[in-house]
Amino acid sequence: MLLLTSVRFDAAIGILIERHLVERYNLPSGDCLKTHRALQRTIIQRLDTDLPKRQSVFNQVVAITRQAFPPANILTRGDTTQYKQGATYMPQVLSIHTNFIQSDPAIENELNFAKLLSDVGYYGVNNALQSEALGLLETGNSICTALLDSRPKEVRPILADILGPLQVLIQYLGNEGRRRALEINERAIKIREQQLADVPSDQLTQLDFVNLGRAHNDMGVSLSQLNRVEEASPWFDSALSHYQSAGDEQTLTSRFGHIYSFQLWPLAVNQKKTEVRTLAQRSMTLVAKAVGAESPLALQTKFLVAMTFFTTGCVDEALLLHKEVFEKRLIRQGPSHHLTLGSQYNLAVCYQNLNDLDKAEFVSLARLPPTNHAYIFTERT
Amino acid sequence: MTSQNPVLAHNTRSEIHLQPFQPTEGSSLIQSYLKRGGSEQESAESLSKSLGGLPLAIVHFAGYVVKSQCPLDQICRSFDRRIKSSQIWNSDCIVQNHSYDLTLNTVWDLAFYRLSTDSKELLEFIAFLDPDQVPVEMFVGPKPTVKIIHWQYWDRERYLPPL
Repeated sequence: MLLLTSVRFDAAIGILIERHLVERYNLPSGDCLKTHRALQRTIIQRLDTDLPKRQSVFNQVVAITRQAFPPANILTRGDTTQYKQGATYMPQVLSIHTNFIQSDPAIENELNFAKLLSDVGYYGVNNALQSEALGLLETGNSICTALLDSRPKEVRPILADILGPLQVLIQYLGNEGRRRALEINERAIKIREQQLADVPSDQLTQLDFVNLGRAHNDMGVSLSQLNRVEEASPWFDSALSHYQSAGDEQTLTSRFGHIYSFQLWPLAVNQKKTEVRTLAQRSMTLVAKAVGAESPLALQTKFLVAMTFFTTGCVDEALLLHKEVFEKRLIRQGPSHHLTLGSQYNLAVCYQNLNDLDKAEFVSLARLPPTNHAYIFTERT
Repeated sequence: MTSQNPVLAHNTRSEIHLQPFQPTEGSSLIQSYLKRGGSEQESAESLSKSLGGLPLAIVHFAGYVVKSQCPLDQICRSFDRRIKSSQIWNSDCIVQNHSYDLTLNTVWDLAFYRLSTDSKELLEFIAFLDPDQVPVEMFVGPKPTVKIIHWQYWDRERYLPPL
């Protein structure tokens, strides 16, 4: 069957290569195709004149890509075994998405496409591909919102899955973004509650508990970003409680490591230095164990821990963590990525607070004044 | 005589397979029409690349640029902006020359001439995907490393919704 299928594919592609419409080339990861943008535009514009056919082709492309892109593993948050496949196929989804949003007349909203956008957006958030993920999740939100009234039961779980990572990215967009993120979280919690309204509490699944935990965690983060850390504390606690109903540190390692890193915030603000140290270590250990020490998620956890160390006056230790994260982000994301810049700035502030103004200036490329004032610089999650 | 019809090869004693222009060659062709000097070398190469180095497509776009007097980099950006580029795509204007009197649509009509259903379908799929790198595995599944049944996208029954 595979041979027959390959032969059929080779026959189809052969004539396209012969006419220079498509080129086939080899990479270590396997054979790839490339074509020219002018040809793509022509085909799409011809499809624009036959909308039922265009919709059919679009649905098939989405279905093909859906099979190639791994469904998000919500339980584990950051299934690294999926990342290679995700990296390979994310560009395809970005291209489909561009065609979708530029279509005029618009391509119809399809829930399958929204689900694909949800999974790719989730992958993007977990791999520090925020700018790419934001557009995908916004479109997913738009599709789901348009379909919500007509198909509420099908749409709610997908929409709630989209709103979680979406609010994470929205929080990067200044004060207005933080306010909008809070609204998104309120909506997400409402949708999760509606989704589970008819399910008896003793029949909630592991995934249900994890989803509730995620929503509560996100709410806590949103409140913290608005400097309402005291209000956030109960949300973090209830998130942990939901995770405990779903599993433990062994079965949901990343989830527990993640929630611990946020529970650090209220502890740090209340200057509970000893508890901060213990929980910080536990958080970093669990996250690194779950996703690997070099993963963007593990670096993000170290960044959060560094901030809480700084807040509790442990500037030396904060500096070491910020330095490590900065150097890794410099290599992984590049010098102009916002995460790298965030690390760079916080590293400079650590040097500044240790009165090493030369290094602070060197790192930040700006002269910072001497200070004994302690800042807390947050990083959106 | 040039043709995209492979059947014609049976009626000739010899044939030469023409290759698309390299970006530098395409750029030279574009600039020879524009007569603006060499200041837009990079954009001209980019345009040629976007057009797959196909001479007729290049001539069509060069014709549009000559008539509209718009900068080349604006044309290059039009590939990413579907709606605004429609004027270019639908334009019948070409540089008048002695060899061709074809619009871009004719160019593509020739390219699509007598393609099999599978080829046309594949081309339509690729039109929605990343133009620089579409993994073949997407359509035929990964190479088997062990004896298991793999998913095969090119088997259409696998991805069409059940009736």
